[in-house]
Amino acid sequence: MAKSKNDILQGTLTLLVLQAISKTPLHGYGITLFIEQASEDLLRVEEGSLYPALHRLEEQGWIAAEWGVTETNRRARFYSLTAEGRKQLDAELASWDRLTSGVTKVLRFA
Amino acid sequence: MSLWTKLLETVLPNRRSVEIEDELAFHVEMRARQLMQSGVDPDEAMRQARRQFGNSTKLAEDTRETHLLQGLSALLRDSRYALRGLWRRPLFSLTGLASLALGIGVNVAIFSVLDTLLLKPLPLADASLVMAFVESRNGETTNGNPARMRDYRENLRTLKAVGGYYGDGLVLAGTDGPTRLNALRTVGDVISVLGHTLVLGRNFTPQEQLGRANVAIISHQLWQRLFQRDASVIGKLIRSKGMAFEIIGVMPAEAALLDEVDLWIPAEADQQNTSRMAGFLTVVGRLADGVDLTKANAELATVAGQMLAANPVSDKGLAVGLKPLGEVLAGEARQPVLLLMGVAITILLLACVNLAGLLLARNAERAQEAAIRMAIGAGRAALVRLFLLEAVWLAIPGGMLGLLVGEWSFALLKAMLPAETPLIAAMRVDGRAAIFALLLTVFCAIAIGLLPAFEASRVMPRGAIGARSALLRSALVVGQIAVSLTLLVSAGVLTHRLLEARQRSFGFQPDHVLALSFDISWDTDKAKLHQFYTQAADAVRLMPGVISVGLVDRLPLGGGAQSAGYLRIRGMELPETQARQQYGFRAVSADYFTTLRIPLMKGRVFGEPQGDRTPREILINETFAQRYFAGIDPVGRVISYRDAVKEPLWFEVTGVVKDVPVSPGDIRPRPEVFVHFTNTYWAPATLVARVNGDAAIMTTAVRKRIADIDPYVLIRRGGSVDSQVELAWTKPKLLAKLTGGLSLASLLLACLGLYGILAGFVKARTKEFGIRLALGATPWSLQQLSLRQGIFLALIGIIVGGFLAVPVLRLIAAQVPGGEANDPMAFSIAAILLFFTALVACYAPVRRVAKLDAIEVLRHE
Repeated sequence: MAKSKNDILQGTLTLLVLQAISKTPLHGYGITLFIEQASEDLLRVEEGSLYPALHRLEEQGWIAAEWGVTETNRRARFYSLTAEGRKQLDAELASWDRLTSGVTKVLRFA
Repeated sequence: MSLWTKLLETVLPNRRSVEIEDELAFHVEMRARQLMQSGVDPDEAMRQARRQFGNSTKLAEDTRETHLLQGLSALLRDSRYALRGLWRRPLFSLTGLASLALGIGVNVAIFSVLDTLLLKPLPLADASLVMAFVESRNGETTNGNPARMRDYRENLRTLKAVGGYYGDGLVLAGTDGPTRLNALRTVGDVISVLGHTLVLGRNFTPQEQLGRANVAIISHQLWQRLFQRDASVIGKLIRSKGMAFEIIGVMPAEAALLDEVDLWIPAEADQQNTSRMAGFLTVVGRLADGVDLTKANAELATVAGQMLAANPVSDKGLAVGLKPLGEVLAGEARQPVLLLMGVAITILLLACVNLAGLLLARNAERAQEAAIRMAIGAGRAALVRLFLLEAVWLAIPGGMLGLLVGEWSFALLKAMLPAETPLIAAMRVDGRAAIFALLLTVFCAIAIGLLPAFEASRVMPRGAIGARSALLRSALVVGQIAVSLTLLVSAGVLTHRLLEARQRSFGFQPDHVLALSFDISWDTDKAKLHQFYTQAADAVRLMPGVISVGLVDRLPLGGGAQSAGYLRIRGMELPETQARQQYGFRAVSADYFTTLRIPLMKGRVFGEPQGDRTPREILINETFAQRYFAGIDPVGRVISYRDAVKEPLWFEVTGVVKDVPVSPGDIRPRPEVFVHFTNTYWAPATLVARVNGDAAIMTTAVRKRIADIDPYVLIRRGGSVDSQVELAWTKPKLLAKLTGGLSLASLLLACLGLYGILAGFVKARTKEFGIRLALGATPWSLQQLSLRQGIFLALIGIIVGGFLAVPVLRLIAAQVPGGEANDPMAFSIAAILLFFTALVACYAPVRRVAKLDAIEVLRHE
């Protein structure tokens, strides 16, 4: 199967997930929705990558999960940022900035 | 996390994994809802959502199922995957199943013997209270006697009852010929000691116990066989050789389990009054209520001290102690059975390790699947569970088949155990064996599943631990190849010898000859015996259809002959070593040779008795003539075979007969001499007759004729010599088959192991191979690299096996004589067979190398 163009760049998924839940706790589906909508459908999250990433982040202690109830009264697992996760988000944001500004500078020369 | 919680978590679907399923289901549902809002109909929306979620994986399907059955379904689903995985690899699954069934079966069979012998209580009331007196004189174990038994009975307060017994035989005349009955002669109240409750009648009275009345208690089996369980059997008589025993009771059925006894009779009065030095009685006692063994032994030590003081001469050097009867009965059989069990468990463990290695090797094929499973959040626990389940689903049918195999191999094992093995009648494959099989199954499942499961669950994939386990597995494979070679060579040598021996002529013609072997007590009066034999031979000779009749102490091929003592040749000075060399000796009648058609090579057969005197004449065989009369005519020479300490008794050599092998596997002829039976102390025990027509059919008529002459003569064995010759082959044939089967099983295991190692080797180097391919290496060169690894292991195994085989072959040579211990042909065939089988085992994983696509491999990483 050919990979679609709007696949998320390796390594940026963590950043996007952390950013998505930085304001309010979201469930997995909510995270994909958030990323799709915020990027105006430019980015799409593969479920096959999202859930392993969520569990990995949870194991690392950056995010915490809790069962809650959605507006439609459906049981769902909500993810929120931990203090540790917030620090990580700051670090990832800083490194993203460095990367993009670096790449932009290089591209300007070409 | 402890090992146990880890295991438990793997086998049982835990809360976490159920939560994962829930979470994923929620996701799909939400996606579907979104689609529905945009106008897609509900079914289609659900399908689309699922397709989008799962995409390349089929697993989304199962996520839905998990909804229905929650926890259990995860287990079922994984089981299905495991089974599907096994189904897809029939070769692996079948060999795995076969080796497990064999391994478990053999263990179950041996366990059944061990259980009865060592674990189960004896089939007696309160068996733990029944003790045996273990007596020894100057450190050597000895049996007891009635005098000492009575001392124990009168002086020991810690024992409720004491008695003794010894085995005896009775001959019962009947319409179908005489039968032997096994009798247990009792001293004192043995039946109370053993705690048997009679099903009919009564125990011996104290008066009867003294042996002056002819009374008997019969076994349940005899009651059934002779009296069809007739309740009026009490008071009837059992007659044997002019004696009549009144039946006063019937034993319960389980009493026969201890020993195959037909009837219990009090020992004769004079047997009960033998000297204090005699040793023929097994003395047993039952502990009094509330007494333990230590206390009883302490009292026994005091009593034994008093006995020694009272009988300083006869009781000198005597030591005595009490031991549970079961332990004493198991006695000598204990060690070999435990050893056998150990070997069987080791074989099973090896099989498990091999299967584990194979599962491990399949990790390679699993990488893709594992990645997908991980991707949908299956987690490591689920992967570990999958491996364990695969092992479980291999082990469960393996265990069930194992129980069947156990039943068969138990019958085989029981047939191979010596008849005097204690408790052999009580041995069976029962519920306890089934439980043992279940335990083994669980054990196998864990043993097979654990290694791959932990490998799969390790955080760091393949570190230093992998290297160490690879070395261990290599060593195991080398060991297995070595054992396989040894077994193959042994099987080859055995078969080779059998074929060789069968092609050889026996030196006599066994067709149309029948043989009857008599069971005659050693103390029978010699004159009477000779009279019986002469009478029997004359009577059979007159029967229609009989051509000739001969007598011999032991048939050739019956295994062994009596060996004679010291050889002296008149007028010849034999070196001492030559005079003491072993040679066979047979007591025969003159027409033995004509009956079996053993050719006379020179001279004539010795003369028949004339009146009371038999001419002192002797026949020798060719080998004997060659050994002692090389280049000389032996006929007319005079020799003596009597012991060196005795005066010589001279016999004239009248002729030379052709060699006849002593046993079927024996290629080397043995020197032998033959004298007329009336000239010897040993009595012949076998009557041979050459007949027209079928020897087997004729046997019945001959038996009847013998019974007319003496109804009390037991016939131990009767039938055509052809069939007895065939019978003589059974043991070597069985041995060859058994070794052959074992060697094949072992070869299969070794190949599985080799396959596993090479598959692992190829997998571990896939990336490296990809780079090499990209740099221009040919697939063949990489295949060579992998093959070399397998060939190296196989060669080491073959060399080690070669060294291992030498002492084993020597052992076989001692068991099955004939030919050279070194059989280069069997050796080379086995080595070549093993080598090429190993190559085939190596080929499968190596083939994968050829299919590697450099780009694919590199992208893969």
